[in-house]
Amino acid sequence: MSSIRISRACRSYGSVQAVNDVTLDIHDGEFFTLLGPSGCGKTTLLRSIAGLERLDSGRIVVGDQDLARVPVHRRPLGMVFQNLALFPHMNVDQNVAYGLRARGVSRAESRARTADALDMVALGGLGRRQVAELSGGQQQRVALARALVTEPRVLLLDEPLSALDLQLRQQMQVELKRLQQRVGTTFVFVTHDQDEAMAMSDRIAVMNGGRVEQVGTPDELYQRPASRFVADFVGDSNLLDGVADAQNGKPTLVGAGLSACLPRSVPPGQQVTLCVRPESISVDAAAPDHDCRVRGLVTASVYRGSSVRLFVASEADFEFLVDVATAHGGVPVGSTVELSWRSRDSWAVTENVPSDDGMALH
Amino acid sequence: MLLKILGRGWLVASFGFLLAPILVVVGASFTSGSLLTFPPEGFSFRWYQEIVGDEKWMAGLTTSLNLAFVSALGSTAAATAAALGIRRLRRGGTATGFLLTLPLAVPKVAVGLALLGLVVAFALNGTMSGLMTAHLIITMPYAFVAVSAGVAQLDRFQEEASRTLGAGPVRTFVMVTLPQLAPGIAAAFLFSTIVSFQEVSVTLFLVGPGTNTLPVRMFSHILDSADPAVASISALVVIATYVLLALFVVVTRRREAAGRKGVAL
Repeated sequence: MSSIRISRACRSYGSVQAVNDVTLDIHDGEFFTLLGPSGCGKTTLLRSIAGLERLDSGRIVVGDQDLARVPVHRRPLGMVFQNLALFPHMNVDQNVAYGLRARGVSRAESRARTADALDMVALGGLGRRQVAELSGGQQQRVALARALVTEPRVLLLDEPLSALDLQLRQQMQVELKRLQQRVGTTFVFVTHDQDEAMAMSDRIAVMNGGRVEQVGTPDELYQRPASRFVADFVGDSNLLDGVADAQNGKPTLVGAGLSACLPRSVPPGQQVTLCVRPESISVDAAAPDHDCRVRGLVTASVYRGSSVRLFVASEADFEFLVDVATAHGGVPVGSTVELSWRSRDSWAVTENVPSDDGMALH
Repeated sequence: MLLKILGRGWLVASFGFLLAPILVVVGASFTSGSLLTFPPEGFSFRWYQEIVGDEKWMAGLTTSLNLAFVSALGSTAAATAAALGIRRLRRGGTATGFLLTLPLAVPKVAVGLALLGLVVAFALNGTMSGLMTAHLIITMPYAFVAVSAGVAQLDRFQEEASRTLGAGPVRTFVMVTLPQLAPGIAAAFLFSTIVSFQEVSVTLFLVGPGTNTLPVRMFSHILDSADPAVASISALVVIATYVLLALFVVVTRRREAAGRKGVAL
């Protein structure tokens, strides 16, 4: 069952189309992420769901309620803001109880539910503290408790983790995901951080220039990006741009100073981008089924713990990113190597021409 | 070391320069003679007893306090509304704010003359209503500056958070916006009160027989007599103002300190 249905949403600021004809179905109980670079319209879309921005056109339906004429404070939603927006003149209890009191819940009941909500985020007993006395992570959890205590149908989160340092952020990602699974509320999360999106989401909508480029599970986005933008934005990849051709009866990409086998047939003459992930490429270890090969010069090598990232320049000066297992042994900078991969481990993206194999936009 | 001593000396000299005239007035107010002189002749509370017993001064004080209270209330409310309204403007906010503070730059005599015209046009000359209108207009820029400083600190997201938590616009204003604006509103009220209470130049144009304010009475008193009663009143007013300001500073400091302590923990 779908929790939120957004259809043909549009919003422009002057000549800028912030949200451009977005249609999305967000399922009940799902951790759904709007991912994209700054200015892609993800925050505008989220704020439109909350009612804090108006759409120029389009519909937003939550459950079976069209929100067009519903004011912000009557929507069945909760929201966690980027700066958390906790009330500094209230203590933790008062912050969390605020939504209950505003919705007319009795004092006694709101006291009990506030205590439960604080227990849920492991802040039991800290209700009397002033907000400013809490650490960043604790404030985060107060904001979550405050937004969840009213039991909204949907919780909207606008980059709430972006102010935290890396370690705390990763810890909060796990906590947030666990919390979402426990309460079962639909979460709509906005972030520009693709690692964060991949780590937490059931499904992700990748946005660019006000449009949704692709909707899918983290795995789908990574393995089968629908557009060059998604392939580039989600994870690291080698993107070889060229024109489709057929050589020896096999679909081939010609471009980037090389010809490489395509994993599927593409009409000859069509623009195509081949996406090869760094971990799919072997160095000087071509197996018989490695049907794509290219020679290059190692220009740099970066140690990354379990793997080493090599920067390899091809003869046509395309820079390949290649991850090899550290156990594989070092490859000296300046050496010439042969890169090879199986065409079926790569992915061909043909822009703007949806085909039948996972290319169709939602 | 030398620099430090010189710096201290400069500081003391500066404050001395600022405060000396006030000290002269306060000193003169304790004279036992019947002329306004400094240094005072002898020491007595004679002139304080004189003013407290004098109907003229007490009536003036009542008028001034009434006037200050009502006009400060009005101008603070208007300034708060204006500052919050300007925050909502898409454009022209800065210009509108500037316009509201512009009266500060107009010579008081010109303001007085203009207000006299206005008050006469509405047949309010010599009445308390006329004076209140005038003082509301005079104190408004001060109140506006004070409230605007508070409004600039408001976090829009807190109001939005309140809305998403189910609170309507009125509840949001009362529970979230107003409490955070309280120090600014208090400052606006305080400054308006002080400005109104000691206003002479504009008020001179507008007073009638029954509405003489304390400062205007003091002004006309020293025009035709040289007794130290005016010094005693001045001393009282100065002390009352300073006590009020000191209280305000202590209260806001304590609030700030509480906030800082929280952050440090």
